[in-house]
Amino acid sequence: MNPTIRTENLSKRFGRTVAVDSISLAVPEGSIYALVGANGAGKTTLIKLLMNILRPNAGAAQVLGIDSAKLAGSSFNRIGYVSENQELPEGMTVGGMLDYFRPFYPHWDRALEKQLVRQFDLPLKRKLKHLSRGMKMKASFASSLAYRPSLIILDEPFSGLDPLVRDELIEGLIERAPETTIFLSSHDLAEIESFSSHVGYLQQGRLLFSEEMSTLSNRFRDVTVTLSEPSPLPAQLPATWLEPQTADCVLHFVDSDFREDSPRELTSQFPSARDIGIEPMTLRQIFLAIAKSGRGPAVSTAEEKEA
Amino acid sequence: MNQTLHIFKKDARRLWPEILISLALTAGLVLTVPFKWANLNSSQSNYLGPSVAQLLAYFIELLVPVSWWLLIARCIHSERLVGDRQFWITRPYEWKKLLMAKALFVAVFLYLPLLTAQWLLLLRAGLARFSALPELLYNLLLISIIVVLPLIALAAVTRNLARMTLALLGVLVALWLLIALSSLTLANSIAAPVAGIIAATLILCVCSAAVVWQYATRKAGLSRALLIAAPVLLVAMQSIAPGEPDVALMNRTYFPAAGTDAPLQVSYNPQADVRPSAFVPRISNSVGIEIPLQISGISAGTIVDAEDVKVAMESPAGSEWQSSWQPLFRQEHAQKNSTFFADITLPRKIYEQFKDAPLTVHLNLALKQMRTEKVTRLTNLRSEYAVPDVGNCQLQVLLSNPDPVTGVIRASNNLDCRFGLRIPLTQVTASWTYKPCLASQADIGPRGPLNYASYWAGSANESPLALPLIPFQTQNESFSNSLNGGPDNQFCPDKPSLTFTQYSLLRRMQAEVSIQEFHLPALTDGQLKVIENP
Repeated sequence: MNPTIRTENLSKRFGRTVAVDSISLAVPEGSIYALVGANGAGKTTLIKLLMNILRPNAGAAQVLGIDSAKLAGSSFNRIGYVSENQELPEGMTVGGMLDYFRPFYPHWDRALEKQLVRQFDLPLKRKLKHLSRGMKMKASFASSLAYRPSLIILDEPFSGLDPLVRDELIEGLIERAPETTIFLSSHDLAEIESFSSHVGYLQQGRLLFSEEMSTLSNRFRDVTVTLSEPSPLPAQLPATWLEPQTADCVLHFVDSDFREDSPRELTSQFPSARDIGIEPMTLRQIFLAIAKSGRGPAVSTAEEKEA
Repeated sequence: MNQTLHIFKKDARRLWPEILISLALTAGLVLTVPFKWANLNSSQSNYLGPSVAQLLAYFIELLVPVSWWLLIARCIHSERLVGDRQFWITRPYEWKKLLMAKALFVAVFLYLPLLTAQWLLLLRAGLARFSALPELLYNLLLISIIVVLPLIALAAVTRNLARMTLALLGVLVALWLLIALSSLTLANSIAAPVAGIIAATLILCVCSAAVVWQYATRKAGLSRALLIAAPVLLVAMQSIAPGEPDVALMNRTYFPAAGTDAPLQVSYNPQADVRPSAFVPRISNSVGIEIPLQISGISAGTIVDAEDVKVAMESPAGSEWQSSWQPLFRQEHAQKNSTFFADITLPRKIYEQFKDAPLTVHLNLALKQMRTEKVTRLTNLRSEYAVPDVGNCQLQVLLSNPDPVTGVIRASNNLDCRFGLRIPLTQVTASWTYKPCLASQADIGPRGPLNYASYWAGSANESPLALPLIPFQTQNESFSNSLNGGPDNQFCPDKPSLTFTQYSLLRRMQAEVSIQEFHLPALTDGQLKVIENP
C-alpha cells in the first residue's frame, strides 16, 4: 500500500536556522499520524512544506502521490487543512463561508455539511470575526471535512481550546477516520494518545522516530531493579536504556527496546537483584524520557523496519 | 461553477462599500467636470477665479484615482499573495482563474464606469463625434499603464492596505529622488518622445510580469525585486553611459542627419543681436548656455519644431564632454529662415573646465517637420460653435465694472475651447480690432488696427504618459492685455475671427551643427534666468 505522505530527506532552512533537517517519513493510508514535539521543533514548518506553502531547500515530499511542490488548485480537492494560525475570511458569516467554499469542491457533501454544522453547533449567520477561537476552529473543521477529503492535515488543531470543544473536534475527526488519513501536529501528548495510530517525534528539526503507536507503547518500559546491596552504575550500559539512575540499592531506567525476552535478559544481567519491576509507560512518560535523554531510541524507526 | 465568476461575485458582494465610493466619485466626475467650462457660459461678468463647484470638480478628479487605489487594494488583498496563513492557498484555487477574477473585477467596477463616464462627458461637452471607441480604449490603456497596473502590482506584493500605502509613498519618494538626482547629474535626458515610449513599455512589461509571477508563484521577494530592479537598472544604464542606450531608438525615431534628403539646414548664427550667452538656471551647480542657430530651407506650408538637443564639446587639449538629449523650449518655425536659441545645460565644473579654451562644439538636434493639413476660419463668433476635427469653442467678451475714476470698462476676449483628446497639432489664431474702450458696450465699434494672438493646442506626439481621466482637453485663453495696460491701451473686441490651422507630422529628423573655435560665453555673477520646463 502506498503511503499517503512520504518525505525523503526533506530540509528547510531559514537563514542559518535549520527548521527541518533531512526528514524522511511515511504516513500509511488510513492512519491517524500524530507529529509531536516541543514548540519550535519544526512541526509547523514540516506541515507547510507538505502543503506547498513553503518550498524545501532540499529533499522532496509526496502527498497523495503528488510532488508537494506541485500541490495547487484541484489537488486540494482531496486535502483538508486546518491550522491554528490560518486566517479565515473574517468578513463572511459561517454560512457565507460554507456557501463560498462549496462550489470549489466537486464532492462537497451537503448532508455531511449540515451534520457537521449541527454537531459543532455552528451559528451560520454570525460573522467569523465575531466568533470565539474555538468556534472559528469548529467552522474551519466543518469547511475542511464536508468534502470528505482523502487526507486531513491539522496543525496544532486543539491548541488553546477548552476541553469541551477539543472533545467535539476529536469526535468529529474520529468519525472521518475510516475514510481519511489524518496527519496532525500537537504538543499535547495526552490528547493524541487516545486516538492516534502512528506517531512521529520531532526535535530541533530532526525526526527522532516515526512508528505505530502500539509498537512504541510496547517498546518502552519503565524498569526498576532492586539490588541486594548498594552498587554503582555499571560502566557499560546498553544505549537503549534511557535516563539510568541509581539510589542506594535501586537502579532505575527506561528501556526503549523492550522485547519479550527482555525480563530474562535483565535477570541474567542482575543475578543478585531482589526485585525487577517492569511497568508500561504513557506516551507522555515516553516523550519526557526521550526529551530528557536528548536522543532517540536506538531502535530502528518504522520506515527502517519496512526497508 | 466557473471559479472566476464565483470569486468575482464574492468580491463584488464583500467590497460593495468600496465599489459604491468609486462609482459615486466617477458619477461625481460626470456631474462636476462641466463646471470647469461653465464660468464663461454663465454671464458676461467679471471672472473672479474658480467657483466652489469648479474646485469640487478638481477635487473629485483627484479623488477618483484615490478610490481606485482603495478598490484595487481591497480586491487584491481579499486573496492576498504575501504570507503563508491565507485561507485560500490550501483551497482548490487556480491562480489563473483567481487572476482572471481580479481582472474582471477591475474591468467591471473600474474600467466600465470610467468608460461610461468618459462617454457621458464627451456628450456633455458636445464632443460625441470624438468618442470613437478605439480612442476611449486607448485612453484606458494609458490609464492602465500609469495608474492601474502599478497599483495592482503594488497590491500583489504587499500584505495589506497599510503596507501598500507605505510602498506607494516609497515609490513616489523614489521617483522624486530620481528626478532630483537626474536634474543634478543631467544624465537622464533621453529625448522626450523616446523617453515616454521607454517609460510606458517598462511600466507595462515590469508590472505585468510582476503581477503574473506573483500570482503564479507567490514568491513576493522575487516579484518585489523585479519591480525595483527594472527602474534601477535603467537608471544605472543611464548613469554609466548617459544617452547611449537610446541611440538606436533615437535613430529609428529621428532619421540621422546623414540619412535625410530634406533641404533643411541648421547653422550657427552669431549675429550682433543674438550672441551666445551664459546664465545660471534653476538647477544648481549647472550653467545654461544659449547658442544662436539659424534654421533654413523650411518649405512653404510646413513648420519645424526643434525638440531636443545633444551637445559634444572638445578642447584643444583633448578633453571631451558630451551631454545627453536635452529638451528645448517649444518653438515652431514657419518662416523660410528662422533664428532660434539652443538652450543647453551643462554642469558647472564642466563649464569651468572648458570656459577658457576655444572649443569644437558639435550639436545634434532632433527636429520635427509638420505640414499644414487644414485651415478653418470662423467669423462672427457669438455663441458656441464646432470646429471640424478640433472641438468646440466659444468666444466670450468679459467686461469689467467701470473704473471709479476714469469710468473705463476693461474688456477681454476669452476663448474657451474643448478639444478632442488627441487632436493634431493645431495653431489657434485670433484677430480682432483694437481701440481705446469707451464707457459702454454700445460704443465698442470696429475701429483701430487689427490685433493678433495665437496659441497651440494638440500635439504631433502621441505622448504615452498623458493621464486622460477626462476624455478631452479644456483650454481657456484670454486674448487681452487689459490687466497690464492702462486706460489708453485696452483691447476691445469686435467681429473677432478665429483661425484653426492643423498640422500633420511630415518627418522627424536629426540635424548636426559643428562650430569651430567656440568660446563659452562669460557668466556674470548673480546672473539668473529662471527656466520653466518646456
